[in-house]
Amino acid sequence: MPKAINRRIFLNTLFFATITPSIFAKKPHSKASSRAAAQHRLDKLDVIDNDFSSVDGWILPTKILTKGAV
Amino acid sequence: MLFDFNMQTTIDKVYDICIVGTGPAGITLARKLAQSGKRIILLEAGGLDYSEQSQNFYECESVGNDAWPKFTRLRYFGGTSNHWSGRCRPFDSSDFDSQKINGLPGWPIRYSALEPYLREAMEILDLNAEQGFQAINDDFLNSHFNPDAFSQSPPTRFKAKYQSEIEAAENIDSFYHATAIDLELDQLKRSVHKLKITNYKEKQATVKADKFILCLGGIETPRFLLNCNKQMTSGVGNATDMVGRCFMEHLNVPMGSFIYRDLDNTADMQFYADDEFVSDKDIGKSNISLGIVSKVKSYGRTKAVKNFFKNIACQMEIEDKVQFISDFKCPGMGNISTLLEQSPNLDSRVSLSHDTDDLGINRAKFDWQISDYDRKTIRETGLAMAKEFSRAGLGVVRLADFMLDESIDIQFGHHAHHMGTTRMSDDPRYGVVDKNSKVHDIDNLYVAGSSVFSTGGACNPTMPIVQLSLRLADHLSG
Repeated sequence: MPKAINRRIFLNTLFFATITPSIFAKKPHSKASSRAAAQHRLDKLDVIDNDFSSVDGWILPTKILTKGAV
Repeated sequence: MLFDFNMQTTIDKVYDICIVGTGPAGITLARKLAQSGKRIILLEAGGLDYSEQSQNFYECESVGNDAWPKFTRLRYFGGTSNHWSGRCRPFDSSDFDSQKINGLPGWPIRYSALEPYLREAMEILDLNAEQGFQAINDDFLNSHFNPDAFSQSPPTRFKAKYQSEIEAAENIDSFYHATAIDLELDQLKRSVHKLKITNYKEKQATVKADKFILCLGGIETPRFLLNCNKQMTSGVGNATDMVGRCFMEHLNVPMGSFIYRDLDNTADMQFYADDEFVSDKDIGKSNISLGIVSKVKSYGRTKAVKNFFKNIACQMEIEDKVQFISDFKCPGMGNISTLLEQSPNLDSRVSLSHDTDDLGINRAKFDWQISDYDRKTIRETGLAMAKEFSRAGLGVVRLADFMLDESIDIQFGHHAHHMGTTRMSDDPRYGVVDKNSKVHDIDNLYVAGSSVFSTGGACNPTMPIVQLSLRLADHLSG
């Protein structure tokens, strides 16, 4: 008798079949790609007002972003 | 008494009041007016239960933003109360402040006109009047966004609750399978003389009554009035071209996501923008819901496996890719949804399609449009809420790209709330019914339901529909 596919089996199959191989395939970040990612985020940085900025859509207090800066 | 019009040969009585539609407005009016001794005829186009044949009459030609007009309503006894969710919140008194929006005036009545009917409406909707309206969260954002208080109906199904009462009522004759297809006006075109009805088999009859009330909802009511065009070519009540205009929904905007500072916090929250904020910004009212969906059901021997994959997905920042699996979120994360007020605008409208239904009657052409005022409401509200959420120390919000970039079209959905298409205004240039819900220029024709809303606030419409219906019943029984 065929086994019914339940939520647990579906989830496990999905992760094993699709996500797990991509983990193995994932290479360590190079410095270049890290720089590119940082640049991308800077491109998405906008000052909203005196108190807040958006970084890639996250609405953050500007003081968090400048903490530690001289 | 309850009759199947398919089985009934004639309708020869003359009634005091003819009510068309058996949703919350129609049934509330029928019960209340019958209690005052009026002889009522109550008409339902569909049957006693759902059928595809009946529901197909709700097919529309949709040309604007889609709001699923065929599926968000139900065409059988009890109407859309057969599938509403039950959330109840009354209008605020400030909803009735009469400032113009998009050149259109607001309500011609004050909230004090509805308030006397709140308790009775709560009883009808099986709400706990002693408990009143309560918020699910205590947290206030620092300013302008308060916890939103509401009350939850079971939800009341009007067919289940009131069918037997209507069946037993001696002064209510209720006919189902009886579709209203035309109004016959008197020679002066000042009052309705007869209402023509039909079943699905070309059997027709006319109904005579002193007064007629249309309770067909925000799409069918204008469709019906516009189709009554034999004596008045633009339709009944449409001398100023207002029938069908100003269709309003409540805007469900996927504003973005949030993450609580406390990752173990799984509480949902609902906020309501205060009057000062709405007034200062000159925008619409808003309910914002923050829902955590991190409650992955992890238990037993699968718990470790599920948590393992969940953590991998979160670490890889691919949780967005697996959202189609229900309840999948990283700890502390949630989504932001809204119930925002849409302002009335003339371009958002129900008109007639060239397509016809099985009875040969023109279907509704449905063109839902939002205005720049609404876009401002969405963006101002979302940004302010995100800032206040951070200031309150609750966590951080990530807004969708369209919230911050005005060059990107806003994504929004609907709440199956159809309002405004026969809006209330004392000035016929800006509305279809007057402050007593009577159609301008027609002495004995009334409209009940959310189509008379001048503005929609940010509250679910069923409770105000019932309040307005009770008020109209009082007016007509006096």
